[in-house]
Amino acid sequence: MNYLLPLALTLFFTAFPALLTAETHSDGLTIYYNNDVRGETEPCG
Amino acid sequence: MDAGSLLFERTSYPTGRAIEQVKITASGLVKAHNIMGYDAVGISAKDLAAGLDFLREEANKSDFSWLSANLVDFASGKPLFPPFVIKERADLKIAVIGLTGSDANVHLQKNGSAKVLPWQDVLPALVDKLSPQSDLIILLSSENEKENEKISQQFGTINILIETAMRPHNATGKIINNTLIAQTDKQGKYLGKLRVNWDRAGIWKEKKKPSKILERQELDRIDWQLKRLRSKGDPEKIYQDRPANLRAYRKLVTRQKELETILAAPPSNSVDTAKGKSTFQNKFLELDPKIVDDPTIGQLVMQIKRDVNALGKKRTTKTILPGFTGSKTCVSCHEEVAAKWDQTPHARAYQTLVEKGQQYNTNCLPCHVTGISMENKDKSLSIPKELFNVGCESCHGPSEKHSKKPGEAKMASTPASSLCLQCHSDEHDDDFNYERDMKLVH
Repeated sequence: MNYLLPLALTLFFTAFPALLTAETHSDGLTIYYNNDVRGETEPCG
Repeated sequence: MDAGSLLFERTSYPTGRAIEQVKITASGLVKAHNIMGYDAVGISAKDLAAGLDFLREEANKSDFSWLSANLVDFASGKPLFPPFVIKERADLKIAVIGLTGSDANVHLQKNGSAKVLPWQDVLPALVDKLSPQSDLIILLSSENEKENEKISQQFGTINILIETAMRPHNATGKIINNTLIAQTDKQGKYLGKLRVNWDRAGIWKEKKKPSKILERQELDRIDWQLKRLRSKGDPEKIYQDRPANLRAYRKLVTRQKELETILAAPPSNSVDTAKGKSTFQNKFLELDPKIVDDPTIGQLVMQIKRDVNALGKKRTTKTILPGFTGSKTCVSCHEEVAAKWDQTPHARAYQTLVEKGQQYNTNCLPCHVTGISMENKDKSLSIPKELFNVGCESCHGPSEKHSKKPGEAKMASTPASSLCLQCHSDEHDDDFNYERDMKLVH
C-alpha cells in the first residue's frame, strides 16, 4: 500500500495545473466573421 | 459577426430606381443574416448609403445588433445606434464594439443630422468601462488600416479587431500590442473562422519580441562603432579628406540620435505578450461552388431578384444614347460580318436575362445591352430595343458618324482586352481567354 500514496500524489500534482488551467482557460470559442459582403461589384443573373 | 459594408457597395447612389433596387437587395441581406444567426454588425459609411432612416428600419427588423460607438446625433452628440453589445459564449463574456470609419462624415455632412466622432473621443472611456465586465473585447472597425493600428497600439485590452477590407485579400491575423487584427476578402467569397483558446489573463501568446528590443540592440551596436571611431580622435577632422568615410560616420551619428529618440519616447500601453497564454487558429472558408445552397436562403435570393426585376420594369420614357444607332445600321454595309455575329451569344445576350427573369436588373443589363457601362447603368432601363444585346457598337464604338460618312469617321476594328474584361471578368467568366475567344465573336 505504501507505493499507492506516492502514485496518487504524483497523479494529483500532474493533474492540478490542468485543473487550474481549466478554470482560467476557455476552449471552444469560434468566431465566424465577414466584412465588405457587398464588395465593389455586384453579381447579376 | 461582420465588420461593416454589409448592405451597399457604394457610399451614395443617385435617387430614383437605382437606390430603390439596391435597397431591396439590402433588405434581403438583413433577412439572410437573421436566418444565419449573426450576432453583430458594425456600421460603415457604405451602410449609410440609403440614409439613416433606412438603416434604422433595417436595424429594427434585424435579430442582430447594428453597432457604432461613434455615429452620433449631430445636435445632441448621442449615439444613434448601440455602441456595444455583450454576448456570453463558451463561458466568456464578450464585449463587441462597433466603430464607424471617419470617411462617413463626407456624406453625413450633406444631410447635417449626424456625424462620426473621432475614435479617440469615444473608445478610451468605453474600453475602460467594458474591460472590468468582460473577458474579451472585440472591435468591429471600418476605420482605415493605419487608424486601426493606432487603436491597437493604444489599447492592449481590445483583443480582436475585425476590420473592413483595406486589402484585397484575406488577412491572416496579426497581433499588434495584444490586438489580433483580421479581415476577409470582399463579397463574401470567404468566411473567416477564428478559433480561440482564451486565457482570462487576456494576453495573446506571441513568439515575436517587442519591437523596441531590436532598436536597443541596434543602438548598442552603433554606440560601440562610434566609440571605436572616436577613440582615434575627432572623426570630423580625421575624415575631412575622405568624404565617403565622413558620410558613413555622420550617418551613424544621425541614426544614433533617431534611436535615442525612439527609446526615450514615453511608454505606450504596450502589453508584454511574452507570458501570454491565449492562442488562436485563423482559417478562411472558401465559398466553394460545391457547397450545396441552403434552400431557405436560395428562396430568399430568388425573391430578391424577382423584386429587383419588378421594380426595374417600371420604365421611364425611352432615351437615345448619343452616337449609338443599333446594329441594324451596320448590317446594310457589313452584311456578312453581321450574319456571323447573329449566330453568337452576343446576339442573344438580352434574351439570357429574360430567361432568368433579370432583364430589368440594372446590375446585369450593362453587360447584356449596347452603349451602357456600370457608370451609367441607370440609363439601361430606358434604352430602345435597337440597343438590346451586345451589338456591334459594344466593341467598335458609337456608329452614327461612321454610318453617315464611312470614309471619314473610322471605327475601332479590334477592341482591346480591357474592354472585354469589363464584362468577361473572373466573376462572370472565369474561363475567358482574350486571344482564344476573340475568334469566336465574328
